[in-house]
Amino acid sequence: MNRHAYIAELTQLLYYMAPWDRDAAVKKYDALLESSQDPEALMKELGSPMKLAVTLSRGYEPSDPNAPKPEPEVTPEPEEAAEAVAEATEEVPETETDAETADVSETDEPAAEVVETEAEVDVPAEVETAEDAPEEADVDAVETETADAPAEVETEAGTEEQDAPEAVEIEVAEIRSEEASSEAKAAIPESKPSFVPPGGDEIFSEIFSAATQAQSAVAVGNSAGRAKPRPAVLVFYILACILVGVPVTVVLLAVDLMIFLLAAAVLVFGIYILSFFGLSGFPGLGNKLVILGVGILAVTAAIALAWLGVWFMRNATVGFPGFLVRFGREHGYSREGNV
Amino acid sequence: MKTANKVFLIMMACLLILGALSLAVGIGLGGSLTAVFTQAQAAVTRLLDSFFLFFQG
Repeated sequence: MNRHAYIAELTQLLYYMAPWDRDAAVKKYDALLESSQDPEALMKELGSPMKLAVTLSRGYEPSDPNAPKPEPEVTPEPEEAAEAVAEATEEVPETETDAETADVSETDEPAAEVVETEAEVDVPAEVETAEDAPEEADVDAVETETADAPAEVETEAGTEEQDAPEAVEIEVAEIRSEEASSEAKAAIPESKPSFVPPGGDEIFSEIFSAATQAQSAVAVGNSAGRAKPRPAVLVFYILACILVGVPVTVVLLAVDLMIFLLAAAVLVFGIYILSFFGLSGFPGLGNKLVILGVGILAVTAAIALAWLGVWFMRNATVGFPGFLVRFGREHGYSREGNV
Repeated sequence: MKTANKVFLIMMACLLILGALSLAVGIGLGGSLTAVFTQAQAAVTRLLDSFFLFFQG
């Protein structure tokens, strides 16, 4: 599979993402593959598109389209959240750590509004906030990835991006201060976007079906023109179809027509019976009800016969030639070289 | 099963029950099934007679 097929399949499989997230993810992997010297090896390392899509779906949280990356909504005082991030980065060593708590300076200013969208935050390597700050905030689950150069802090708390000369790339899962948490909850919309599927199982089953469709689409594209006819088999098969298949089909058609004629005759009979209502030869309520009952039963039988005729036509009269054609396509062409 | 199939089956069942009930009640009230069929047979006979007479001449 080449890079374009890989990306095309991945694009289909990432349908569950919001369009902007999907575009970002596809661009990311496309750029990765494009810049790679050995895309094949990289694709093997990433795994199949389906595997990659499933992996991405596990940790996927739709981002807010209205508040993209640049700067999150900053409330009157963003310092507290920023300081929390800074504090977290200070305490985080150069390897992956979990920072359970962090000291955050508490000023008189209101707390920053925390937005639960992932944002990349570049924080200066040296932050001087811990000394002045009282201990008041919790910083949860901080994952850090070390890097030699500029620090990049990814955090769920919406914070601002700052470029730093020397920093560590840190992925902060959750940072929230005790005071800011209530405001954060208020800021977060209660209802999830409609494109988020309710159950994970549905995601995976739909991913599987989408993957099947994508693979079949790729397979059709690759195998187009590769089916080679077997002339001898096809000639004999066509002759057999003409000699046997056509008479059988005609007989089936005749049977079907007879069923429809019978249905029509029964229907006419029922309607005719119902016309006895106006005759004077059937006095009394008993006779009227008998006429009504026989008429209704006859019409019901006519409808049932018509249904039988339709079923017979679909499955036998039309189904038999269809079967012959499918059988011929399946065995009259060689499948060698197909994907 | 599709909704249309369910509706069809329910409709057929209702017609069947209605017809059977009407027939049963009619016979119970003194109606004559034989008379109805005799009348129908006579009508069919007349129809076929006219049909063949038309082609004979």
